[in-house]
Amino acid sequence: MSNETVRRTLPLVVTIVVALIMFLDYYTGAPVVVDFSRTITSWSVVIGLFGQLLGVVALISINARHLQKKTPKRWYFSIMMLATLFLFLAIGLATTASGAIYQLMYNNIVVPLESAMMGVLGFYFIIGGYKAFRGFSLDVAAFMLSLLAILLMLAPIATAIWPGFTDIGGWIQLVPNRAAQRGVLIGVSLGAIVLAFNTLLGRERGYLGG
Amino acid sequence: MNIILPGRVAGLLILVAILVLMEYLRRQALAGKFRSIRKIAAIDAIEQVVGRAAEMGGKVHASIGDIFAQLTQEYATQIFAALSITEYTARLCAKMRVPIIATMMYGETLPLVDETIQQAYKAENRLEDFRKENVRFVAGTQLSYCAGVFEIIQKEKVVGQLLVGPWAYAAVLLGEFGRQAGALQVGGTARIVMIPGFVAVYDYFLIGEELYAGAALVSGDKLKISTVSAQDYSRIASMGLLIVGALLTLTGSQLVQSFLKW
Repeated sequence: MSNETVRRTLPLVVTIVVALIMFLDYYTGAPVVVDFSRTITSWSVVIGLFGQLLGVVALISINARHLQKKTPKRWYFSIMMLATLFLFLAIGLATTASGAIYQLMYNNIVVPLESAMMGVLGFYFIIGGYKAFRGFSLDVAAFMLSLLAILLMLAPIATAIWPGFTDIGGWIQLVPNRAAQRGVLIGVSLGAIVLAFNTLLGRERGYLGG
Repeated sequence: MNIILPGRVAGLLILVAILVLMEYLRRQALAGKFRSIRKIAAIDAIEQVVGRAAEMGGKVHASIGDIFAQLTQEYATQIFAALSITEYTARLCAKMRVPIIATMMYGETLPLVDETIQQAYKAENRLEDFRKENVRFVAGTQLSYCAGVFEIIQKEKVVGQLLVGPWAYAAVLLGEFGRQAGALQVGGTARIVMIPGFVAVYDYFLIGEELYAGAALVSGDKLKISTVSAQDYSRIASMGLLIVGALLTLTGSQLVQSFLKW
C-alpha cells in the first residue's frame, strides 16, 4: 500500500464506515448494527487507553532528554516528574489504584494540589469578571445586573432579608438565560451537523493533517 | 416493524434536509455561485497573534482543549474544527518563523496534532523548522495540565496563545496565565457553559458555531465555506419552526410538537 493510502485513504474509509454504523445504530436500532456499534465503542475505549500510553511514553522521552542534556532550570523538575510517575505506577501496579498506600498518596499529594489550583481559579474568575465590567455600556449593565440578581439569590442572607430575590434570580436563570443558551445550542448543533457531514463525505480532512 | 425508531423520524428528516441543502450549495459553488460568510474577528486576529510573536521573538502556544478533548466523546467535531484552526496557525508560524508549542491532555490526540502541525510546516516548505519536541502531552488531569502549561508559558516566552476546542475551566486558568505573561490570546469553544469565561479572559474569542465557521474560513476552500452557509439557512428555518410552533400552540394545535416527536 502506498504512503498516501495508509495516511489518508484508510483513515478516511474507517471514519466513514464507523460513522455510518453509529448512524444506523441510532436511527434503526437493528440488533445486528447495535451489536456491532457496541463492539466498536468498546474498541474506542481500548484505543483511547493505548493513546494515553503513547502520551506517557512521549512525556518520559521529553523529560529523559532534559535530564540527559541537563537543560538549565529544568532538569531537576524532570527528575521529580519521572520519580513521581514511576512511584505512582509501581505502587498502582503493586496494590491497584484502590489500594491503601496509593489512596493515601493520592489523597495527600494530588488532591491538595488540585484544590489549591481550584482556589486560584476562583480568583481568576473574579478578576476576569472585573475586567469585563470595565467601561460602561448597555451590555455591561445587563451583565452586572444579572450577576447581582444571581448572587443575591444564592446568598442566604439576601434571601433572608427579602425572599423576592429568589424569584428575580430564578426568572433570570429560567427565562432570558435559558432562551439565550438554547439559541447558542441550536447554532452549535447545526455547526456540528454540517462539519460531521463534511467529515462523513470526506470533504473535511483537517483531522488527517490538512 | 418500523425501519426508523419511533421518535427519531423527524430528526432524520431534518438531517436529510440539511444534507440536501449542503449539496445544493456545493453544486452552486461548483457552478461559480459562491456563498460567503461574514468575517470573524477572532480568525483575523490569529495573524496578529503570530505577527506579534514574530516581532517580539517569542513563541505561540496552541491547544485543542482540556478534559473534553477526547475523540471518543461527543465533542469530537469541536476537536476537528480546532485542528483546522491549529493547522492555519501553524502555517502562519511556519511562514513567519515563529516556534509553535502545542500541548494536549490526552495521548490519543498527540499523533493528530503532531501530524497537523508537521503537514502545515511541510505545506509552507519549512519542514526543517518543525520541532517534534514542541508537540507535548503534558498531563492526564486538568489541573496538572494547567500547571504544566503554566510552566511553558512562563519559561518559554510564550507571547501568543490559541486555545480553541472543547474547553472546560482550564481555559480560564490558562487564559489568565497567558494574560499575566503579556500574551495576545485567541480562545474559542462551542461548550455553552464556558462561553462567559472566554468572554471575560480572552482578547478575541469564537463563540459557539463560530468555531465551526472559523474552521471553514481558515481553510480558504470556497466549496467548504459555501456548504457552511447551510448553517445560516438551517438556523433561519429553525427560527421559523419555533415561531410557527409557538403560534400554533397558542391556537391549541400540537402539530409542530407532534412532528418533532415523530
